[in-house]
Amino acid sequence: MDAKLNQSDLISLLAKGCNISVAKAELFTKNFFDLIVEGLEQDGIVKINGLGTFKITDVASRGSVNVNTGEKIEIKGHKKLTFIPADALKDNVNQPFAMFEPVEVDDTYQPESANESEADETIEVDGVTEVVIEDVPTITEQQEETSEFDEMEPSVEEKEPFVDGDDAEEKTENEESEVEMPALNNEDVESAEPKNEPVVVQERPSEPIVVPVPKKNTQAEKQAAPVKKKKAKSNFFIYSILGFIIGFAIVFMLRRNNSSDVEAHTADVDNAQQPTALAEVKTQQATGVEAETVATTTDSVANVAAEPVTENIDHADETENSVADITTEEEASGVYVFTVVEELKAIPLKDITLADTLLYVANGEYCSHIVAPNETLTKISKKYFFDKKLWPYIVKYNNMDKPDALRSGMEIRIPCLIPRKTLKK
Amino acid sequence: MNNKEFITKLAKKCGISVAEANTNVDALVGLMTDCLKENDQLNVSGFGILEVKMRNERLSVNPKTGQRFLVPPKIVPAFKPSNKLKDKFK
Repeated sequence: MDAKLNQSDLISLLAKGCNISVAKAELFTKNFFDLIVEGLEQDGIVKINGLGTFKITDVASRGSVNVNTGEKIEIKGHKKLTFIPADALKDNVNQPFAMFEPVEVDDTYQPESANESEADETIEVDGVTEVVIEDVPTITEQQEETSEFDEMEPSVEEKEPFVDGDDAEEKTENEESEVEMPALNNEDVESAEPKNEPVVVQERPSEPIVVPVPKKNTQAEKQAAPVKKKKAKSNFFIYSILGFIIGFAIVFMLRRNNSSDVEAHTADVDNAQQPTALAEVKTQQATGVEAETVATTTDSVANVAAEPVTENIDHADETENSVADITTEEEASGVYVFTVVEELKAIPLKDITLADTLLYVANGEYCSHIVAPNETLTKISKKYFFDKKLWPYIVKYNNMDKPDALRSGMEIRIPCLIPRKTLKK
Repeated sequence: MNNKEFITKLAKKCGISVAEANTNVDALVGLMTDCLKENDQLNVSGFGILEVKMRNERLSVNPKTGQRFLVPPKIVPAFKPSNKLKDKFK
């Protein structure tokens, strides 16, 4: 292994292997190598079976650089002796690695993303199981759900008239707010199942009594949990977000109930145009006659589950708006309110201002501004718009690649912002 | 010069029959192969060095199809001519 053999070793080995005298072997090997050289001189190529080919090849002239002086020099073309080993020799030498073969690299395989999705799945599974464990389930089977709900709805409307006074309402509100958190959790779990979705929406009118129902659901869910886990993973995020939005809708509705007592009359005017407003007002007044219409509106709520959310947020923000305002806003706000809800979940909803998102449109240049040292986009925004949150408009208006690109001494243009709402009018 | 020419010339030079020369050449080549198989280095003075070299694995791309292949590591025989021989053919 790794030994260095010379010609004499080779001769002795040959003499042993061929049973010839050492002198003969020596002569033979000497002639062997001499003949190779001779053949190369003669033909420029010598082939020996089992060993390979000795060949003289041309090397083209090439430019180079003298390392010491940096001068450019040219290495002249010359001839070179090369050795091309025979396949037999190659195979023999390469025996330790003979089992390897070239493998095609699969570019489509992405181990990282696969790992991520696996991780996500496990996390989701944890979430589901935790929620299920937290709830202390009380009763029965899934099949009863729908029938029970049908029975419940009228009873809700019968009950609500008793809760007319403000104090009483507040009480129920407190109860509800207590109830809501577990309810939301349950919704997360339930929402894994598409067919539970209308059920979730139906909770809205019948909230005070609905308390046990979600628990039933989780009970059923828990029984079915091992089977449904896989389905749940894929839809989990979508439905959890939906659950959050519906939760916010409930909160807003309750708030509006407080504030809109005064405006009940104006709201009555709204009724013709807005079914959900109708639902809210009527659940306040809640006479037995109106039970049917309420039921229909709740159906429409179930169908258009997304829209009422935006409307409700509008109501909370601008309770004093007129009918026309609300209808126009319904169109305008459809896009952005969702983004508000998703981005600012953590922030208390009353803190959401008009400044937050796409409520403004840049309309012409107001003035130009030279950036002072230590001035940030938020400072500039506060200076000109009186709100630091509006700095993205400056970035957008100046076509800056990144917000980081701001440098002192830079001249930036300040846009003139007008509310999108007035533009629509 | 191919193998046949080489052996006939070698037989003539050594004063032995072609058949004998053939077996001897086979034996010599066999010895050299065994030698390289053992990762030994064979130094023939005035001629050069026969040795083995390790080639690492590498990625190669088929320029026509764009397929990428992982070529495994391998051991290859190599010949390094002596300076004397180099100068002779320069």
